This record gives sequence, structure tokens and C-alpha cells, in this order.
Amino acid sequence: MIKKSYNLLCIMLLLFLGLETSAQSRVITGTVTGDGDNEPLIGVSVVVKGTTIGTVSDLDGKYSIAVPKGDKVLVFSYTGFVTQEVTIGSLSNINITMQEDVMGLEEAVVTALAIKKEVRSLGYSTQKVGGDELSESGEVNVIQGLAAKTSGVQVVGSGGTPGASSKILIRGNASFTRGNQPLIVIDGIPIDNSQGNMNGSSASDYPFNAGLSGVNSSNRGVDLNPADIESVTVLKGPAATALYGSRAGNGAIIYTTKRYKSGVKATFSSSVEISQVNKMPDLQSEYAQGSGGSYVVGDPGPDGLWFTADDVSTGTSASWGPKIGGTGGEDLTSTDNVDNFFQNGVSWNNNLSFSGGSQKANYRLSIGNSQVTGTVPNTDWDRTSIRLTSDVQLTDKLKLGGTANYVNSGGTRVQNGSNLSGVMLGLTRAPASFDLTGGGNSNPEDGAVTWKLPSGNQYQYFFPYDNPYWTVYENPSTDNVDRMIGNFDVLYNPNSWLTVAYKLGVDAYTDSRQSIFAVHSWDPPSPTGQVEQFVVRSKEVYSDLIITGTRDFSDKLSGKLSVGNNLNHRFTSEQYLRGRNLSVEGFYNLSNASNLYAGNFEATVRTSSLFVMGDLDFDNTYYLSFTGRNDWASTFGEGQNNFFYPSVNAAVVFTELMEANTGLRKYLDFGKLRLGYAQTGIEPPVYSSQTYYESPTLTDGFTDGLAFPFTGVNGFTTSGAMGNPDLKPERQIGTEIGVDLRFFKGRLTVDYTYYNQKSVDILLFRPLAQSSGFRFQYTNAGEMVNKGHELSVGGTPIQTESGFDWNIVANFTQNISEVTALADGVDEVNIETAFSSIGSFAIIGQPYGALFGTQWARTDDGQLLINPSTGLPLLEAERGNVGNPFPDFLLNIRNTFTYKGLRLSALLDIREGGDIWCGTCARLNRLGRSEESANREETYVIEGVLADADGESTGQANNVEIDARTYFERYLGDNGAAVEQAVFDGSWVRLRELTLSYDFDIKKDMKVLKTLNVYFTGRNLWLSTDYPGVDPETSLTGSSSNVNGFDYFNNPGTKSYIFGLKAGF
Amino acid sequence: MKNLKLYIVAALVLFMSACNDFVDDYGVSPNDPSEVTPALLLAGAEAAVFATYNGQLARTGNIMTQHLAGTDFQMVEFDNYVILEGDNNNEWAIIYNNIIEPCNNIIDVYGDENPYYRGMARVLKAMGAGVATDYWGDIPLSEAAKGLTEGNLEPNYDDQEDVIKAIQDMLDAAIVDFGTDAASNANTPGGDDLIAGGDIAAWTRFAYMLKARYAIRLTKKDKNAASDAALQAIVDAGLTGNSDDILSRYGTNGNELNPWDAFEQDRGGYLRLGASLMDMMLAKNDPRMSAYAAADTGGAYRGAILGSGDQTASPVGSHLRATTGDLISYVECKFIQAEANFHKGELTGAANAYNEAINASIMKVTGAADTAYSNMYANEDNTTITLEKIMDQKYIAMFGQCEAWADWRRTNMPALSPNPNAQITEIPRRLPTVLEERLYNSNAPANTDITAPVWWDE
Repeated sequence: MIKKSYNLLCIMLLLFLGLETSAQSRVITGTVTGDGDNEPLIGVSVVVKGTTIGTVSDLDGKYSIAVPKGDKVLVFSYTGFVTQEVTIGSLSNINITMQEDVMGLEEAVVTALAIKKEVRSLGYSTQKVGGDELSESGEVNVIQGLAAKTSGVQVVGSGGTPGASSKILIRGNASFTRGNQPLIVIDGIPIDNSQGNMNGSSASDYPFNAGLSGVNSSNRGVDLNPADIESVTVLKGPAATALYGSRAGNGAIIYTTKRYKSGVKATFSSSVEISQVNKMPDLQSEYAQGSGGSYVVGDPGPDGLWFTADDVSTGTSASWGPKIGGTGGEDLTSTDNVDNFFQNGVSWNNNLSFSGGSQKANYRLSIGNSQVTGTVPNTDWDRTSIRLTSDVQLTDKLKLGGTANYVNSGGTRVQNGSNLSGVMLGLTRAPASFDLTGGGNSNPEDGAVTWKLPSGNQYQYFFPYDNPYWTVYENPSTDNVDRMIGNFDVLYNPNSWLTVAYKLGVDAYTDSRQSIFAVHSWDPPSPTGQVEQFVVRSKEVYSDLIITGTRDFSDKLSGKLSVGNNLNHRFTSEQYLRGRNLSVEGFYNLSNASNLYAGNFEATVRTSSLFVMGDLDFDNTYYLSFTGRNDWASTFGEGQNNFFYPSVNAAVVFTELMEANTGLRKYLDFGKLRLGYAQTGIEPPVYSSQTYYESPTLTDGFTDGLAFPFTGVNGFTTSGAMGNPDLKPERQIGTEIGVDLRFFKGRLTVDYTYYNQKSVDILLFRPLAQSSGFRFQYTNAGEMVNKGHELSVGGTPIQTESGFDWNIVANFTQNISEVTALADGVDEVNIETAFSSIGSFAIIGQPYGALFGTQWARTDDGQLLINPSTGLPLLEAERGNVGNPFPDFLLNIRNTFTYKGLRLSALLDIREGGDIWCGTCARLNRLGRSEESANREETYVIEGVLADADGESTGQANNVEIDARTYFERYLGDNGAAVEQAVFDGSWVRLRELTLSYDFDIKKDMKVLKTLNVYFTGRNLWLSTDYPGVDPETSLTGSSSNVNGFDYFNNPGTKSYIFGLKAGF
Repeated sequence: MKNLKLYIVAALVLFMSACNDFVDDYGVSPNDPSEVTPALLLAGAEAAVFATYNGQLARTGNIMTQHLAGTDFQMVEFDNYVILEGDNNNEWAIIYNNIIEPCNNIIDVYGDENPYYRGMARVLKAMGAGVATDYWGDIPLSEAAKGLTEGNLEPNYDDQEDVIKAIQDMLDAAIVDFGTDAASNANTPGGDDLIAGGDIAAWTRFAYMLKARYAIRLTKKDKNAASDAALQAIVDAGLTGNSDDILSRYGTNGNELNPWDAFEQDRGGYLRLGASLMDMMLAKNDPRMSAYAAADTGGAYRGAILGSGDQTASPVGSHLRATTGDLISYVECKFIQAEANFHKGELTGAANAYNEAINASIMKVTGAADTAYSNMYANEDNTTITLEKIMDQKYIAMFGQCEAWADWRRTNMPALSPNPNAQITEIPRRLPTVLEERLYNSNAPANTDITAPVWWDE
């Protein structure tokens, strides 16, 4: 069918081409200058209105353009200047002076479906970030690069390992179980930004949430080279994204890439980054491994092998041993394993670009290479990107453009989180009395290592915890992505009022991953070695056709109407292979395994749609726009397979209605009130409308469980998920209202938006009482409201003749979510499987993603109820909400000082609130590893009131003394303690970026070098937080997960120092 | 101009229908089947029974009975009687999603044409319902696992008394199914039957042995009737020796491991032998000790003292980690016979069954007879046999099995004292209603008091 539709498109194009007639033309020439200094402006776009015919001004500001007979108006536009339209009349020479656009209102922004609109006319909020801001941030990931740069947007990185994923939320979460990541669009073509580890980076016989352990894989947006990005537009709410229909529910981020620019022919940029771990949990260094004050250490005996007759001790994970150097620990010394382990990460980033041609036919070629090494030894991530863009003005009426981008990326990852190979797990739990390096060389590149025993086994303090050196050097997880992103577009203007635009894009990649567990590693069920291979193939084909007609109804009223079609085909396949019981140590091929497992998964999703949009402009004062889109999708249930998404928005430039230079208008140069309403959707997951059979995995949560094929026999059971034939997309119904104000000739700008987004028909795994025979049914049952304020204020407090400027931009974001309905009889649903003690839930009346876990029993006035016989608090029988992982507000402030070529910019990032479960902290307390737990010579009395036999308060203050170990294990630890004890406030204030940059003043007569800039950027140089674990900007499960606020031995974050230069030739 | 408009309209009309066609036929999964066979369902349900009877429920029960001591992490919490509503979701789910649901499916869809499969499904369903009611009390059964077929998403809970009756009825019906001709079966089970390889005689015996187990369960309600029914079932089972055992059978690959073995491999520090069991065995120099337990860090066999969390004590030994596990054994039936005879005043019968049970257990566990032990402890007669002796020896023999907790609750033998360091001062007698049931089934009772006895324990 796809073929048929494409044929149809081709026929339509030919029809329009057939309408083309040759036209006579005349040549207009002139010079363009700027209004301030009357210097010629280079690169000003000159276009014949209503056509694709255009040129740009040259180095002397001169232009020459052939105008077809009958066309009457030239449009001059230049970034930062007010666009001007000039009627040609009988003139053949038109000189023009461009007025600086101090308000930033004439600028065109890219909106949904890559349609450019004037900021002035928009009835909804968008925000633009310049490409330089991305590249200067030093982030290799174009998603992470957006952190703290706009309002309404929250970016959460996964910690400082190379290539780790970044998650981005716009106006909170819209969905419980579907993704909450916005649509990522490049030059009008959506691309894949998935993380690809939820369906099958683990075997189907692995029953847990794979995100809780394993490696931090990348979100695929990481394949974009920040150096290729010209600008980014964030489309925040449904009003802005309605034209993306069923894929728009989480907003959209529109990247516009660099294309040919006259003037500079080549650019080169290079930077080096040195990164370091910025924050670790505090650990004690005084007490040795052991239990009850006596020293115990793992010792497999003389043969160096576990579970042989000569084993001395398997060791213990606890550090409740003797004082190092004290009685029973006389021979022990203290080692700072954390300090020994982490290294400085050094990264290089080089980009080269060439562009050439003319305004009629041109190209831009860019080559970028990033090589990142991590703070964890033997971790790295590389990306090489080659991108070619070309635009050709074939005829006066027809313009073609195309891009081909090849990317190769990948690296060596490290185990993270809840597994025995987790680096942070093995490292922070390591007792101070144990030197993980084995006392000698730890780097295999420098010869034999001492963390490996002569037996081939690893040097361990406790047998099932892998030594972190072993993990990073012996158990690498590698990935290698080959990706091709290409697009082709055609723009056709048969006459002055009609345009036809067609786009076709393909995004295809193969992600090949391999994960090795050497023989003697403890993470797979037995230490016999394992090799896993996981291949993801993904292909997305996207096309849209938009036909637009414009008409001036009168001098004041003009309008525009577009209709279009959009087709989308997405295919994913995942193949997983695993071999266990390796025969030859150190050889990693499936042929070396005696136990093999294979699994595969594939999915195809197709959508098609028709849409219409209209714009009316009355007197540059009143603007009205509407859109409508009807979607058909293969994922919708059989009940109804198509849905309609409407939107309408309006803007009034009220300053046009006020008398100039009176009252408020003296200071207020521009004021606009805007209002938008829209509906968008989030499509249901693939293959959820029917009940299927599947091969069951039977697990108890402690082991990998039983699975099929079982002793050579296959077995099936109905899947735990009951099908739902009535499945439909989730819908976001959004209303927003806002004002944009420009005071003092643009010296002060204020943009404010209030939004109210109601999400209805939210898909949820409506959990079923398992006695129904099923665990859940996918149902459109949830409702949630996200309300919030977004405020962006910009100001130029100082602007001097001498060239000294001080500029401030601040963005404030507050989003309040409330879950308002779930399925009948359901008050809380688990958003995603997490830990047995704590999960991320949707609870009616509570914010989305509330941390749901065990809590202490309390009196009515909130005091702990203490069990008089143990001195420990009593637990509440039922679990409850123990924290909200989303911040109360976000505020980022950028101060920029410029003087001539010198620029100093500081980006302060403030997050207030946002709870994090520090599972790391609880466990380190329990094991006696936390710094606090060094205070163990004293007894403790927990503040609270004593309970009677029925668990009621006696009113008497607790006076039962408990020993330190009980206190740290069972109150502050995770041995039967309420999980609420380990939930902490994740607020922070950080200096996210500090940039000092200098633009050299290149003499005009320099033949080769045109521009030269050197800069230094410091990232996360300063962080202030009360959170006791690693950097609270952390995510255990990554961008494909909806779980937030979990820290269980997450890898630490980093701070970095970046030195760079950029040159133009 | 006019033509152009026409083209656009024509194109849109074409697109309308094209849009629909474009997405059609992409809604069905290429990854999972919509139809299967009774053989596949049976294998799935049997593996679920294995996971249930040798998994977390067995571990939990054996910590309550002090056969085992929880010495690390979650198992310590169980040792401290901190058993919360979120702790056993997986076990409950496996019973209902993976045993009862597929068994209903076999019975309803394939049963009439395949009485053998139906009979097996009935026995497995009785196994699932049995352990559920023993651990949780009142449970959904008559309305259970009918979400897909009848749309019942919140089944009512049946009184335990009715559940036990239903179990006996299902087993009776299964025995009738097994009595049919092979010829009246469209399909006959074979290798897909992980338990008995399609041996219908073994399944008939299995059903009778289970009837005995659930008959003796009711001694607190009506000792006499319980004993009569148990004895009749033992007779009907036609037992001959340890070869009568109905076993779960495992492989040696990762996801085929005996759950006890997988647990020891993955969670080595979590469990140690309990001093209550080990002291009884040490006192009598029990030959089963070296199979039940592995040597402690000092090379000796030693249980962890109750509440000590002592990881230096003996870990679980080879017996429970073998590639077979008991679903119901000859040894258990002999103990049932001994107890029932004792209640009936048939003391000679009780003593004989008791002696045979101990000898069979030693033979089963160690592979050899132990005359010295037999002469000392398996040498009772009508004058010396006591209920304490029967239940104490059954306690030793039932190491690792779910049944052990039920026996202790029913008889309070052997005498056990609660963990002095625990949150509560009594040994728990049930599990709390699981979280998902409390949340999503308005008919669920929401029991949180784990010291409250179930109906047959009242």
C-alpha cells in the first residue's frame, strides 16, 4: 500500500510540474545596509514574494535578482533585523536599509511540520535555543544540551558515564505507561529517540525491569551532532504540536540543521574536555569488614577458587568489623577505594564543515567526531557523523533539497544499579579495610594486575560482589550503531498564491550490542561466563505533502489555507542471543557456550493522516489559526481506527490598539495576548488489542525463575495481559494563555504562559486482581491534569556605547500534576515495575509518579510509634506515598557579559524539590559503610513515642536505647526499615555552565581566516545540594523509562572543564 | 485554476480511503500466537506448580517452622516476621495466572475431547488452590481465573471450608477422567507432561495422595472424619514405596534449575539451616543431616540460632538442590497414615506406618538404610507411639516443603518458640492478603493480621 500512495504522490507532483510555464523576467539590483552604522549587510535573503526565487547579498551588501513578470514584491530578511517588503513598481535598483529587530518578533520560528511562522502571529508559546548554546555546553547529546535553557522543560541525565541517556520532559508527564519523551524532529522529519532496552536487551526469560540494572544505554538522539544544529525550537503544548496528532502528546523538539551560508566557506572547531566525578556518598574509613566487631574477609583459600574444599570464608558485605588499627584490626590499613578507582575522563570533539555553491545550487558538508572517555576506567563512547546537505533551485518555481547523514556511534559501557556487577555497588560497599586493586597495578595496559588471582578468579572481599576493576576490564558491554538519516524535499510554487511542499525522510539504524561476563563473574546466575548479543534494527519512513494557498482579502485581511497528507511507517526488530557456560576463558563467541538462548521481537506501526490548517491575519493585530488532523493507525483497536485532533489559537497585538507614546505605551513597545486550545494524542502500544499466548517466565523476584523451553519441552500460557479491542489513543486537551511584552525598545522582555493540560483516556496497565487469571489489561482509563506557569524574562541592564553589555535571561518553570482518575475501583497503579520495597505510582489525588513504598506507623501528630521491646519504629501495614520525584519549580538564570569580542556567561540552574529515593544510602548505612555509621561506639534512642501492644500511642516518649548496628541496619538502613527513611529532597543549585569566550577581531583583508573564537566552558563546577548520594541529577532507568527519583547505586555525575576553538575560513 | 481545485479534491478523496488501507493488516502481532494446544498449556501449568511448591512459599513456610533461618536481606525480614502485603505478589500471580487460568483453559476448551488432559488440569488446579488456601485462608476459586471467558475481574472469595471441598471434588473428577479409555482421548499426554511423562496410573495415584493430604488437613475440625477420609485415600492410592513419589523435575540450565538451587546460587547468604531442625537431628545423629545441610564455616553441621542472623551456620545442602523435588511423597503419605491411625486409636497401624515412613525417608534422602538409626528411632510399637513422635519425625522428613508449615499450625508440633527479636511475639499463621488483591478486588478481605489462624487452624 505504501507503494501505491507514493505513486499517487508522484503523479500529483507531475501534475503540478505540468502546470509550469516559462516566464519572462527582469533583473533588479541594489545594496543592503544596516540601520545603525550603515555598514553593508552580508547574506541578507532577498526573495520574490510568493515564489522560491531568491538570492543573498554579497560581501559588499550587493544583490541581483531576476524577477518574473507579474511578480511585484521583494522580501528582504535577515536574522536579527525586521523583515521588509518592497513593491518593485518600475524600479530596477532598490537600495534598502534594514532595521534592527530589537524585539525579536519578526523572526520566523519553525513550528509543527516544519512550517515557518512569525513569532508575532503565534497564539501559543514556543522557545528557541541557538545551536551555539548546544555546542558550547560541551554536551555530546543534543537532548542533554537543552538542560536549563528554556522554561517548561526538565532534562534529566543518567549520570556521567559516556553516552548515557538523557530524558526530557516538557510540561511534566502526559502518560503513565507510554513514553513521555517529546517527538524529535529534524528539518521536518521525525527521528527515533528511543533507548531500545525495554523490550529485549534482556532475554524474555529475565523477569525484571531491565532498566534497574545493566548499563546506561543511549537515547538515540545522541546520534545527532550538535555542531550541525542551527537552532532548536521547543514546541511545548498541544496548541503548538496539534499537527503531529497521535505523536504530539508530549510536545515536540524541532531541530533545524545548518545549511549553506554565503561568506564563510569552511569552519573548524575543536574542543577538549576533562571530566571528574562531582559528588559521591560519604563513606567511613575507620572500621573494617566484618560482623560484631570481628574481622571477616572473603578468602577462597590457597587455590584461589570459590566453593572448593580449602575455602576459608566467603566474606561478608558488612563493615561492622573492628576499628582499623584497633583491637582485632591491628594489621589492617584503610584504603580509599573510591578515590583510587575513578579517573579523569578526557574527551575530544572535532568538527569540520565546508560549504559552497551559490544561492541557486549549494551544499554543506560536515564531518564531526567525538571521542569521550569516562571517569570510570575503560569506558568510552565515540561518534562520527558525516552530513551532506544540498539545495538546488531548479527553476524559478521549483526548489529541491536533500540531506544524507551517516552516523556511527557506540562505546564501552559499564554495569550500573541493582546487580552484582554494578560498579558503584561493588565499589561503595567495599570495606575500607580491603584494597580493591589488590595492592598493586590495577590497569591491564600497564602489565599484570593484582585484582586478578593467579587462579584466574577475581580478588574479592565478598564472593558474590564483582570487584569493580574486574567488571570494567573483564565484563565490557559494547554497542555499535550504524545509522543513516536522509531526507528529500521539494518546494513548488506554480504561481504567486500556491505552494506545494513534499518531504520524504528515512531514518534507519542497526544497533549491535554485546555484553560479556567473564568466567568467575557473579552477575549471571552462575560464574561460568556469559556472552550476550543484542541487535536492534529500526527503520522509519516518513512523508508529508502540504499544499498551501494564500490570499489577501483586503489591505488588512490576509489568509492562508493548507491541506496535507502524512504517511508514516515504523519497523523495529530485536534479536537477542545469549550463551552461557563458556568453555574457553576469555573467548567470547556463542560457539564457546554450552547453553544457548535466543529470542526475537518485531513490530510494525503504520499511521496515515489528512490535515488542514488555516491562518488569518487582520491588520497585523489580530491573528487566528486553526488546524485539524485525522489519524489512522494500526495500533488503534478495531472499535475505531481513526481519530480527529483539532486546535485553534488566537493572538492580539494589543499595543497596536493603544495610542503610541502615551501612558504605559511609553515604555511598552509591544504587547501580545495569546490564547490556544488543542487536542493531541499518544498512540497505544503495538499489538495490545488482542489476548495472546506466551511462553511464561515463572519467577519469585529473587532468582531468574523457570522459563521455557524447559528440559526440552515448550510451554505456553495466556499472557498476563488481557487484550482490549477498544484501545484508542490517549488524548491531551490543552489550553494555554499568555502574554509577550517588550519594554524599553527590547531591553526588557517578558513572556508568560499559563497552561492547563488535561490528559484523558490515559492508557494504563489497569492492574487486575490476579485471581481473575490476568495481571493487567491495557485500558484507556486514567485522567491527569498538568497545570503550570512558564515565565521567561530577558533584560539588558547595561548597554554602553563602549560595547560593554550585560544581559540576563531567566526561565522559571512550575508544573503541578495531579492524577484525577484511574480505572474503576483502582486508586493507584504502578507506572513501571521497580523494587519490591518502592515503586513509582500514579495515585488519585497525588502528583504523577509518586514514590510509593513502606512507611513508618505514626501518631496523628506525625510522631513515630516505637516498639517498646525493640526500640525500633513500627511499620505501617500498608504502603503509601513517600515522596514526589518531580520538582516544585525550576529556575535557570543566565548572565552574559560581553565586551567587544570577550564574553562571559554563567548559567545558574536551580531546582527546588523533587524527592529521590537514595537506596544507596540506606544500604550503605545498613552495611556500616556510610560515614555516619562510623559513630558506632554509642547507643541511639529514636525520637518517637512508645506504642502499646495494639500499636497505639502510650503518650510516653521513647527511651529505649538501641545499639548502633541495630540503628543503622533497621532504622536508617534497609533491613526492615520503612523506605520513607531513605527518601531525600533532591533540590539543588548548580553552576551548570560557565563560559568565557573570545572572538578575535579578524582584519577584513585577511585572505584565509575569517573568524576565530576560543572559549572555556566549565560544566557543573559548583553544586549545592542536601542530597546525600551522588549528583541528584541522576536516573537509574534512563530515558525510555517513566520511573523517576530512583538512586540505587547509580553511577555518579561529573563536572568538566572544556577548552575549545572555532575558526571560519 | 478550476482544474487545480478539482485535482486537490480528487486527491483528498483518494487519500481518505488510502489512509485507511495504509494501516490495515498491521494490527496482529508476529511475536505471539493466538492459539495453542493442551500439551503446551499443560507443560506451562506444571512448571508453574514446580515454581510454586519449591519457591518462595516453601522458603517462607520453612522459615516460619524454623527449618530454615533467614540470615540476610529479605529473608531476615521474614525471620523477624515482617511479612508485608507486597512480598508475595509473584507467588499469588503464578498460582492464578499460570496454574489455575491455563487449567481452566484446558478443562473448558479441550476437556471434553481430552479427558486425560482434563484430569491432569484438575489435579494441578487442586495443587494451586491447595497451597493458596493453606497460606492465605479464604481464596477465590469457584469464580477464579475467569477474566477472559466470563469477564469476571473481581472474583468472590470462597470460604476455606468450601475450597477444601472443591479440591476433593476436583480430585474425584480427575480420577474419573483418568479412568476413561485412551481411545476416548483426542490427544494423549507424553513428554509434555513434565511430572509423569503421560503415565495415567501415576496421575491417578497423585490424585489419591492429594486427597489424603487435604483430608488430614481437617483434624482440628473433625479428627475422626479427617482420619477416615485420609486412610481411605491412602488405601485407594495403592502405595508401594518411594517409587510412588510424585516429583517436580528440573534441568541443569539457567532457567530449568530447581528454585532452591537457583536461590542458593543467586542469594547465597540469605538462608541457613535453623537450629530447631538441626538440634533435633544432631541429638539423634540423623544420617540425613549431611544431605539437608552443607558444612558450616568450621566444617561442622550447625543450625543458626533463632533470630541470630548467623551466616556462619550451615547453608542448605544437596538434598533440596537436586534436580527433583517432592510434590507429594510416599513418605508424607506414610506419616499421614500414621497420624490418622493414631487418631483412630489404631496404634499398631500408626507405629508401623511411622517406622516405614522414617526408613523410607532415610533411604530417599541418603540412598541407604541406617540400621543404627532405625533400631533407635524407627522401632515403635502400639505402646510407644505418640503423636509428638509422629509429628516430630514428619517435621524432619518434610524439610523444604510447603506442607511443613500446615502440619505445624495444625498440631503445634514440634513445640516452637517465636523469634525473640521479631516485630511480633507470635509465629505467623498465614500470609497477608496480597497487595494487588487488596487494591483491585473489592471482594478481597484485606487481612493484615498474620497471626490470625485460617479456618482449618481455628
